[in-house]
Amino acid sequence: MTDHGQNLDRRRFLKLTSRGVLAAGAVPLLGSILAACGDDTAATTTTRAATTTTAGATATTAAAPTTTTAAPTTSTTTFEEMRQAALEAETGDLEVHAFAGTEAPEIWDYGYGDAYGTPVFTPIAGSFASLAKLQADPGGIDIWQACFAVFATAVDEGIVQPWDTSLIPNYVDLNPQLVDATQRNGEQFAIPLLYGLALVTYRTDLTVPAPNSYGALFDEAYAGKVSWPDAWGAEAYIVAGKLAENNVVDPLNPTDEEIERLHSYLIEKIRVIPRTLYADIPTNQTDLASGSIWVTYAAPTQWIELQKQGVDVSVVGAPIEGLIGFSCGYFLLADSDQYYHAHEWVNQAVSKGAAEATTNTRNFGNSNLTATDVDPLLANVFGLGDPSVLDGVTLLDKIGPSDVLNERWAEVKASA
Amino acid sequence: MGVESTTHVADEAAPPSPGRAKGQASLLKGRRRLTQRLLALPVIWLIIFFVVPVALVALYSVGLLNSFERNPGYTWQAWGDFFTGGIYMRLFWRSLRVAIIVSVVVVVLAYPIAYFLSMVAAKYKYALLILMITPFLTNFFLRIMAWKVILADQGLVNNFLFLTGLRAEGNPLDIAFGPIPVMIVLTYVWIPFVMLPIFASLISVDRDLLEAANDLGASRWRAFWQVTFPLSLPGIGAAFFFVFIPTIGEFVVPLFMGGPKGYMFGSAINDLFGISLNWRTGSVLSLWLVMVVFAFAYVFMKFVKLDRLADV
Repeated sequence: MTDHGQNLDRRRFLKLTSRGVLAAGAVPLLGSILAACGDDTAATTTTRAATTTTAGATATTAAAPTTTTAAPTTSTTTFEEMRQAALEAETGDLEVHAFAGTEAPEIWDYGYGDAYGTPVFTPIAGSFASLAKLQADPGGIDIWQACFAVFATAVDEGIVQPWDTSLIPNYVDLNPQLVDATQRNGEQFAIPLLYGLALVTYRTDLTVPAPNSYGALFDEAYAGKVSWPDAWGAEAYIVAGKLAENNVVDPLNPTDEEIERLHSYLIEKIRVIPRTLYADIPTNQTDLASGSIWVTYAAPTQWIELQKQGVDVSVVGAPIEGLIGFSCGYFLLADSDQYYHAHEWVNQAVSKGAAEATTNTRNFGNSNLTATDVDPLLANVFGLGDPSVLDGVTLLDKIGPSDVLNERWAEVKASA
Repeated sequence: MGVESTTHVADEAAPPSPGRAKGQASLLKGRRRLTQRLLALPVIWLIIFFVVPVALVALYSVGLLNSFERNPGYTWQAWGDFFTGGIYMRLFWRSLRVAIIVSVVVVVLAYPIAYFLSMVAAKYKYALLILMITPFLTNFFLRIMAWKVILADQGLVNNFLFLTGLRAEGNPLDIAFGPIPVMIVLTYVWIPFVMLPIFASLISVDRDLLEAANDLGASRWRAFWQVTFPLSLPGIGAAFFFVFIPTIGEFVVPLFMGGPKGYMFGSAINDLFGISLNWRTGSVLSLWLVMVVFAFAYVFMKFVKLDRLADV
């Protein structure tokens, strides 16, 4: 488990052969590798604990491989050769379906562009909208960036496949809380890139007294001065469920009876409280800046941007219900024909440089615990470098019945 | 005209010779074959890009095709829920009302412009027409955003009201979000588009008929109502549909200008396929929309002979 030679198990062998490596004349090499692997079909790293060991050894593997397999000194070299052969065997472009802005080189290019060229980037409209698109037709997309509220559905529907974390050396630096949240049966189905907090953001000059709860989003004192996200979906039920007045035992996993109560609550509130359901961040920022709305539910980026503009805004940083957060990152599409290029790319996209750029340019916390060389304000807001930063935060990635709640959200909007 | 008619009658009166009759039959057959061939392309187009997609949506609506379904399998439940549940049907009536209002307002506003261009503007009519449709050359999203600026609490309209004292500062007219701004923006968006069929029908009105009406003592007003307007009805019908069909399924403008109260049937379809991943209900709503549009089209074609627009 501690060197790459062992990681080339039967499963990987089959993957390589199916990608045309055999045609490249690699049969003899593969035969010997397979013999060396024996029946170690569990060798592909699957859990974080196991991968930490493997990837942690990566840096030293090439220099001093220590292994108990039949051909220890050649297996690492052979693995690298095989990896290169696999990369060369993959033809066509890597396609990355991601949030707008991801195409900026500082977000992903730490040598990949020179080595393999620039991937094709296509923008996603939103996590769930892109999930629907990929379910209908993944096209040639290899890597998909989304927030992990879609995690369960994407995995259940077979749209994505697990990453081979041994091919992602930077994986060891990622926040274990986020890594654990994106595993299923010990397999790493997504590589976390960023996290954010879902905050009540308000105009300090107009909202007096200052709110201290997510309840401000449903407070009749602010009726007609609140904006909710248009695509709030299941999240709306979680936020409402956290309010003491709704008496929900586990907001991430409400019972059927609790869902019905929350549903009625949201319908009642949508008719009187929100003035807008915002679809894009700049528009919402403009509305907040102009005073068209006073209170909104948003990621810290809106607060940070508006503060830079000199607008009197603040956030409820310690709501009485506890904070709600989210995380996003990269999925590998099940039908990807750029398996090895995708791993190369994602390794760079979660590297220290890329993660710092993600925080500095997009105002999100990043998952790389070594990526702390950022704007001090942002480092402080997001507690960068602290592996336990998300302790006590309700992560929206873990919503139980998200499909049911998303369905019901459409009814809430239609009932306004 | 008279000579042509006489010749035509004489031709019909004369008994056709066997050879000539055979030639005519062959010509007719050739024409029919040509018509069939010419029709084949649009028919194939229609089958591929309309019939097949609608059939697929129908299969989704009854569970014969499934995506993200928690309870896959053949069922009419989504149809039953739609007709008995009330939520989406109420939304449909609301959207229908908006679509009808927008369509009528747009036609009413576009008609005088089209009339001016076709009847009054003389040699400048095409230049002015191009000017009128210039907004089409700008990005749709930009046009929506421009209206946000105009209608915002601190926007152009409210600032004018503050300046003139018609509204106290700090108490702006609430026109930034809701069904009213949605209707305003949609009206603005559709007017240049809708002007075209009305313009086309007006420009084809035979001016001799208007002269004849004048000679017979009709006032300009009466000539308009009894000659021009009836002859332009096909253009009005087409214009109405050009607005009505996209408006009832509209979801972009409501997304930016609608707020909760401006949510429309098209928005629900968008959400059901996108955020909610409930393709079955989304398919039911989509098919219902198609059926309603067909029903409206049928009724209009009964009363207004849209096919006359082809003569334009």
